[in-house]
Amino acid sequence: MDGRAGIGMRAKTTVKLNCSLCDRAKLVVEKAGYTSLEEFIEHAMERDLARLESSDSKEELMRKLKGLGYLK
Amino acid sequence: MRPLLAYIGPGAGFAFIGSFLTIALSLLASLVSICIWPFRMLWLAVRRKGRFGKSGSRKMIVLGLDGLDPKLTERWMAEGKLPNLRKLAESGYYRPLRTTYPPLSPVAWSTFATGVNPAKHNIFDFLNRDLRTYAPELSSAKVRLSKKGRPSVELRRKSKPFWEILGSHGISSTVLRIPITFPAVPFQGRLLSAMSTPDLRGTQGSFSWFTTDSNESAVEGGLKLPLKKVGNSWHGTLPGPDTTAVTFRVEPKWMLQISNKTYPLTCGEYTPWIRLSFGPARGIVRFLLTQTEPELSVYVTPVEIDPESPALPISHPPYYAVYLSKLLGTFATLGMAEDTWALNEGAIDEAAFLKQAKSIQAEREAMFFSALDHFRSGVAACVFDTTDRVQHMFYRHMGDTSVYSKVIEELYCDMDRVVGQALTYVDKDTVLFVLSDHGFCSFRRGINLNAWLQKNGYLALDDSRGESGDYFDGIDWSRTRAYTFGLSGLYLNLQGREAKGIVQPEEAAALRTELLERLTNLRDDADGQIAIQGMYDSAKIYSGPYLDAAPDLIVGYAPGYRASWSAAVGKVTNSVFEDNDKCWSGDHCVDPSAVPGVLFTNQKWDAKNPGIEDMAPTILQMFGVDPPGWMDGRVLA
Repeated sequence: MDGRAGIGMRAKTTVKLNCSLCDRAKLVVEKAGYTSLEEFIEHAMERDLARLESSDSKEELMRKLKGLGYLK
Repeated sequence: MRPLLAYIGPGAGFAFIGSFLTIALSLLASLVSICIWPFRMLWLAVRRKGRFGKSGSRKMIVLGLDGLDPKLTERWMAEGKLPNLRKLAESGYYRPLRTTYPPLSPVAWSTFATGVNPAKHNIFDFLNRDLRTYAPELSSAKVRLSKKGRPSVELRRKSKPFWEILGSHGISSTVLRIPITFPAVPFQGRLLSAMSTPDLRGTQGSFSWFTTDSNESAVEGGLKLPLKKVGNSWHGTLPGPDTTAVTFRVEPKWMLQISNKTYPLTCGEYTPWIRLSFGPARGIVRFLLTQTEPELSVYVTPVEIDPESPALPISHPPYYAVYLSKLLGTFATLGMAEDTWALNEGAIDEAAFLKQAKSIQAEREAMFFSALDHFRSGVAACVFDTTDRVQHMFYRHMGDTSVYSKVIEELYCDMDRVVGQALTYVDKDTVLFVLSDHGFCSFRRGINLNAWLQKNGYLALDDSRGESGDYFDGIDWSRTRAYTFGLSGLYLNLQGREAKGIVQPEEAAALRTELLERLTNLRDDADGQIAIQGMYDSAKIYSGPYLDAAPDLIVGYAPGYRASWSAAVGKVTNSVFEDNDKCWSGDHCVDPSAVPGVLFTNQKWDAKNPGIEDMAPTILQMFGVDPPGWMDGRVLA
């Protein structure tokens, strides 16, 4: 996986996946609009994590948006 | 046993050995680096082989002017007020540049960088929503705290920017302040983040307004805080991240005492950047004395991340921000550093806002031209966003008789000066692009589409309420089929997607069509003017793996209109239309056909109807790199 680690960023890790599954995925990755197999797998994980992880409170999310010129 | 008279502990020894080891390892690393240098150069030459040769381009300068409008540019070029842009248009190429659906900077600059439509880069608006709670989130970056309490930042823009692709072919880039580059991602080159970089409090930039006025009215976008008289000085407490704070005093003769240093305060003049420590984090602020009578009033900029000790990843390599700060002096790091809310709320006046914007512009010019001074090959790209912020705040003065009536015209002339200076770095091997992501128009009336949806039976409130609170507080989701928030999207409350969705997936297409037909050409109930000139089904205008995250419909407001301030934060109001009485009086969150950007280049091109998605593949091709198959744009020539 390409390195995207930096200060405060999550370092990348290596995961062992079934080769035939990856081969199937590689065939459709670019056609689907992904740039790489890694992006495809990360998207699949993010979709499920969005369902499974706990949410930030609405107040915390609104606080983070404070000061954005386009929004009051 | 004799008592010990003195004892030398291990500390000194460890310190000596530690220092020795550091020096020895540094020398070893330097030696290895020198030894492998010829092999590195050889490898780089192999990776670059044929890249520059095919096209003849060794250097490319990309000068982004956020929000530069083609109508205004053409008018002032014709009047001879923009000689450098005119020269570029006459000797090279100029066309309006087709923008994205919707024409918002995070969306458009993401498409510029990646060459793909929003369904492939995942940025559709400033905001996204949590599908379980309907709560708003910043669409571009998310800061989380790890279990150990350390910040971890996630870039939500997907796909791959052209500078990463060039880097993988051995071509280096310097990328300054291109929006949606926070957190900075490693690649072969240097990058300084821009839009969506937070302040130290974790917000998008909240100012502090200190006053002796006891009338404690709340302000948007900042904090109104007390200045307390103690003896013959005034004391204030500046909040930082979490529960940290720094105290300061304003002493007689307007002397600011903070962190054991003294700064003179002059009405209307900003202090230099002042470095402050908030626990382990370091921030920078500037103070501005705005009034001494009848009340004392002091404005303080948002507490920005100190580039010399960045608390979050604002640059790549991480020391690049430190290098720039040491080389050129401290600079604003906030994503949108020009404090538009402080002007809206009266914490500062127009003159102070302009002074701030010009100062930030000067900091960025210093960075850009310093990069060009050391530029030998590859891409040097910088986006200046003063053009966007000043047009937002001063559009109301265009054509009036105030002293600010020429502010936008002068701004365009000043950007022409920057173009002229950039042209001095252009030789026969250099390609120059000057472009903007969108144009501009007035923002006279706001539309609350949540109110329209409620009046037309698509959205329901809890029975006891006439209006909702912000972000859907008081919405009855069990009777709501569609809703809006943010600046241009309309969403279905879809079963299986939204947590409380009620629209069956098989009904969605029909409902999208129904809303599209009813809202297209919606008229203002005050004067009958068309307020929405186009509605766009996202399933038809986008294609890509992130389509599920897109709004179901994109609203093309007519120039003069925009999502109202209340609709943007997911509120339902009684009336659909409202006047916009804020200083923020220009906007571009309208139909994309009304606000294209501009594209100038020193190349002789014939390309018709260029789009912002064409830039990344064109840049790659100019360096002899074939654009990858996932890109949507075409190569311009």
